[in-house]
Amino acid sequence: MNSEMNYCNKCGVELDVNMNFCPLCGLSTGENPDGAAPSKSAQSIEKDMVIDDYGSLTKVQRQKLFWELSCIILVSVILVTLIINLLLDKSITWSRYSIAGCLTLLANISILTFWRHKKTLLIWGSFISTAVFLVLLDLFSTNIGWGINLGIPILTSFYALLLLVIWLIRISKQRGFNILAIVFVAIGLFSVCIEGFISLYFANHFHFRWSIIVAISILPISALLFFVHYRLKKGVDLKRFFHI
Amino acid sequence: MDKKISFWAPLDNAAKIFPAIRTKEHSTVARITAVLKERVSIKHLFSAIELAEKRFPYFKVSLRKGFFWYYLEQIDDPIKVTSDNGRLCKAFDRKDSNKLLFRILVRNNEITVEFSHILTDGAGLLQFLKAILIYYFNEKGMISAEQIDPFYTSKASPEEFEDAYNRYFKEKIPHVISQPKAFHLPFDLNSKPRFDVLLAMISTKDLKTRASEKSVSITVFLVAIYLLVLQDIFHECKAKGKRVRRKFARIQVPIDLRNIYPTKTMRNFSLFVLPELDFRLGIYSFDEIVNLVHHKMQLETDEKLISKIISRNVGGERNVFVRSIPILLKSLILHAKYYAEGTNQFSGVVTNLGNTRVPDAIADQINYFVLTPPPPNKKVKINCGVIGYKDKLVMSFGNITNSKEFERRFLRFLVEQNVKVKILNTCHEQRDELL
Repeated sequence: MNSEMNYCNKCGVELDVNMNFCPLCGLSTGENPDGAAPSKSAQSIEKDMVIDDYGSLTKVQRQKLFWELSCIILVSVILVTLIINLLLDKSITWSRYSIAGCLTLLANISILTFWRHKKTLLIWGSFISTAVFLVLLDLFSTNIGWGINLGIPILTSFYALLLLVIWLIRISKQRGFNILAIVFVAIGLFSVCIEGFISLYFANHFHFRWSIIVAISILPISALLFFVHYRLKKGVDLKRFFHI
Repeated sequence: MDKKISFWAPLDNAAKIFPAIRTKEHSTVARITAVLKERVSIKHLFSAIELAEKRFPYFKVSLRKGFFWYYLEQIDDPIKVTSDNGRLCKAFDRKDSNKLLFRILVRNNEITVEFSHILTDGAGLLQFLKAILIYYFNEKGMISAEQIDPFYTSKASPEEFEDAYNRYFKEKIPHVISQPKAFHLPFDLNSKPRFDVLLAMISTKDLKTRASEKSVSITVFLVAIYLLVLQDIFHECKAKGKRVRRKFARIQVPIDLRNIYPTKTMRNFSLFVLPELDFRLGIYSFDEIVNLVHHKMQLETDEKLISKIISRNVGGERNVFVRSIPILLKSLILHAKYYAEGTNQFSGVVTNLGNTRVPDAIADQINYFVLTPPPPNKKVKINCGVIGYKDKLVMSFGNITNSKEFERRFLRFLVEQNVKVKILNTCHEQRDELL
């Protein structure tokens, strides 16, 4: 073997003189395949990733800008409504609703901006802030406990179904009509949850009527959408698919 | 063929069974390796692959599932070129983002092409590899354009992707009669991954001499040895008191129908003959086996008899009832039929691609070829691929058992016949040390 020959130590193929790494395995010229140090090619790939991150940095900046603008707008709304309420009624009455709403919205925007990649924190943060908002609404209005006894169970079922939908979307290899079908199924289940919790809150037992009709009506639509997605995928020519 | 128009095609008659029976182990992937005299220059190889991609657009297809049948659909995925890691005939992963049914593997001085049998047979696979080799050496300046056969430089003809089985199907021809079940080797299976290959290099000259002494072809001679070894193993099983119910040994010998019917097809177009021994009639001498195989091969390669087999195979798929069965059910039926009937018909496989020829200008650049047929199924357990180049004939024994007894006996017989046999190193790392 000619020692001056440029070849890959892993694949054994001869590389052209201007090739610094093997296009088959990515190993740098003359590099030991068992070496722990990353190859030049691997380094270049890493560099590309950094460049990709840099490219997406503007997106982050845009999100931060959106958050700042949201903060300015929502804080302004809070201050304006609070001042108007104080000036007119000499106390904080109706502005509590707008303040609570704005704070919830601000919390959700902040969570989305800063915990975008921390899915658990994102879901929990959003859930807790919305649950607090419902409890506050209850406190500000009738204070009969619907916030905790009715709002939070419905909200919990909503988030549970949302998580399920997100998980199903993530594991889907091909996304199309199946997403729509999953969403429909989730809507059906959510309507069952709503009626169940409402009947439990008002009548102290589960009672289902309209939600069952909704769920049963939605099922054939979902089934059709699933069929369309899995059997007649996008781009499938019917002549090809049904050739006999 | 216009690349802009996505074409599609139903599977040919031979390919129809493969989607139903392919598994991770029984991959239905065949492989041919060209071992060069020098290391592969990757730059030139990539250029060659680009040219091959343009020349054979009909191979850039993926398998799609229809409602009644699978079909092939043109896709634009790039041809996979990877380092050969020694895992032979690996199944094409259905979850892989690259949906092509073939791959190119490179290592040191070896260029390998692996094709799913859904796409083509051994002859089509060899033609594709030869094209890559011609383009490769042309890129390296070792062969001029004038020395290249126009087939490799012309545009693809639509006839190259025709289903030749359908073309030569004849109506109203009686079907062949099914035969009694064949004897299978009694060896235990390997643990997964099961497939292992033993390569033996044999002098073509020596083998030709021995075959000529019996006035038969190399294929007949090798099939006769195969049957002889099976006979020995069968009688040993009986002597040991093992209950052997199946008393027929049959070898599946694929034959290239392009030699019988004129066609340019690059898809599957082969059938097989089944030379057999009936163990109930006593012990056969080697000469008797050679005689039997020779006449059976002569008889069964007759065009009229071939048309009978085509009639049976194609006639089945043309049946309105068969056609109207949805694919899910059809796959289950095909799978069950394959294991209940198909694999019971034969005890082993000998597939011989013959002596490969390449243009004279590059003949000295190639050392030898290796053909590895698709891994055998759990019943047949062992198969054999044969390919010759100049005076080097390489036999590739694909084996999924934990025994090398069959190969040992087979090669031992050749040595006893004064045929030189050299076992090739199939371990990559040890082969590398020789370079």
